[in-house]
Amino acid sequence: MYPENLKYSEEHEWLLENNGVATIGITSFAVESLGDIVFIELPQAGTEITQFSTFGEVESVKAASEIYSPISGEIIEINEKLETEPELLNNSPFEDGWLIKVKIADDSEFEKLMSAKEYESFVNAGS
Amino acid sequence: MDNLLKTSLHQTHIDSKAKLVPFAGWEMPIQYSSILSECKAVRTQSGIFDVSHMGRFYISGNDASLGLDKILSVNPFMIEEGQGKYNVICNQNGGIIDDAIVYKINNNKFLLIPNASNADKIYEWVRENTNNLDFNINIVTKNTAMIALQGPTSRAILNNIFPDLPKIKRFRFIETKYNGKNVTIARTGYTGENGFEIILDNDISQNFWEILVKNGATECGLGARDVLRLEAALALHGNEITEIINPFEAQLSRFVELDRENYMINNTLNNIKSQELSKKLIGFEIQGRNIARSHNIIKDNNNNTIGEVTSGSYSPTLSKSIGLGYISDKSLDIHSEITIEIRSKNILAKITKIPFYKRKKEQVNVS
Repeated sequence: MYPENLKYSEEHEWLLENNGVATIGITSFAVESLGDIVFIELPQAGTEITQFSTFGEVESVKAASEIYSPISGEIIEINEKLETEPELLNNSPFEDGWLIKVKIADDSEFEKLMSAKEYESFVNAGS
Repeated sequence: MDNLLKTSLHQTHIDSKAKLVPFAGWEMPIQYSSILSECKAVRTQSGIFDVSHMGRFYISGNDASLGLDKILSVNPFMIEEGQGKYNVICNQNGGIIDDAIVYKINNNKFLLIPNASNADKIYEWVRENTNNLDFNINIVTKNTAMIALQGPTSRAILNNIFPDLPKIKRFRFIETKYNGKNVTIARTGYTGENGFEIILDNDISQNFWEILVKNGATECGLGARDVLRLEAALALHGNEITEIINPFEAQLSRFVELDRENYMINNTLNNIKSQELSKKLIGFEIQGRNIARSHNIIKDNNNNTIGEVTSGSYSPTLSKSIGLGYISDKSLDIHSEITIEIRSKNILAKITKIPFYKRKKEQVNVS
């Protein structure tokens, strides 16, 4: 049910690693609990972020939620489309609704993340 | 969620894959597809809401009018048969215990609709203040369903189901039959859109709901209802109105009819009315796209705290972030700038005219 090629955090973010760059987003589970997302606040490219600390916010009609980074590093790109199309997050959380790309600082941080199977058990245990 | 009450439409909601949440002791649908698409359906076509959780009290007896005259902020003797009126029910200090609609069937029979969360409290309040009167309260909340059909095509949809339905003016109601059963249809609602609220027996409610869907109505949950009522700047008890807010602060003075000798708190409210208010309700628009939430602090331009947000949401109809709240600084008015503290950040906002959304008067024909 969750893409196998991604890694997951307990705060419901996902990460896709490719040549030292992590694409980061929030999971379908997070998106469903938030409901209709209408605003995403992200930092600018160049910002340094730290694993498990907050780097942005998501506002849905019903709730606001902070976004935590699953990895440390420098933001090299943000998904500009979300500015005008926040619904991409609801419609395609694992693809078109990606949030940021980060130049990974430390590979060993992956150990603190979950596989798709582990994340699925984590979600099921919590609900 | 085992202790929660279920409406007669509960299975229908489950079949429609609604997201159900506990609300005022009931298990209610908060959304079906999405809050935004449900709001859009109500503004452009029609939506239906299960509002069976709201209280339904039939009040009867030779002193029915007299008893309500003591309690309600409007004069029941002046309501016409077949007419409903929005009103507030205040405590001895003028604080609002609840807001309600009262429908007059005749001088000796009324229907009172309090909020689900306040229904028990209102029952006690009405009971203890009508002790010595010929005044009976028959609660039919659990025996009946109530469905709100709201939107520009709502009249056309009703015409398909009731071909001989007479015109019903705003805040009027009629009693008719559906499949041989009694149905009450009132031209009221809580969305700022043209629409109806329909009360019918539990055993025909599922069938009636399905017929409404077949006629083009979109199933909507309480999430959309809350956004729609905020766009129309309709007060929500617990947010804009509470037991420590009086109707003048809440800008509801047009629903307060004073100078009635039976009205228990006539003098209290007259006193409040003659004094300067300590705070007033305002509407605001956020500059930017953050969303204010209830209890966020409102500040003036000098960073002084002047009040608190009572409701806030993104408005899909206006594509703006809007909200309601109280401020103590009466010098501020429409177009004044204020600041709202949202998660420790000061966000600029502007006081705006309410309601935020007002429907166009012309009805759209169903195709």
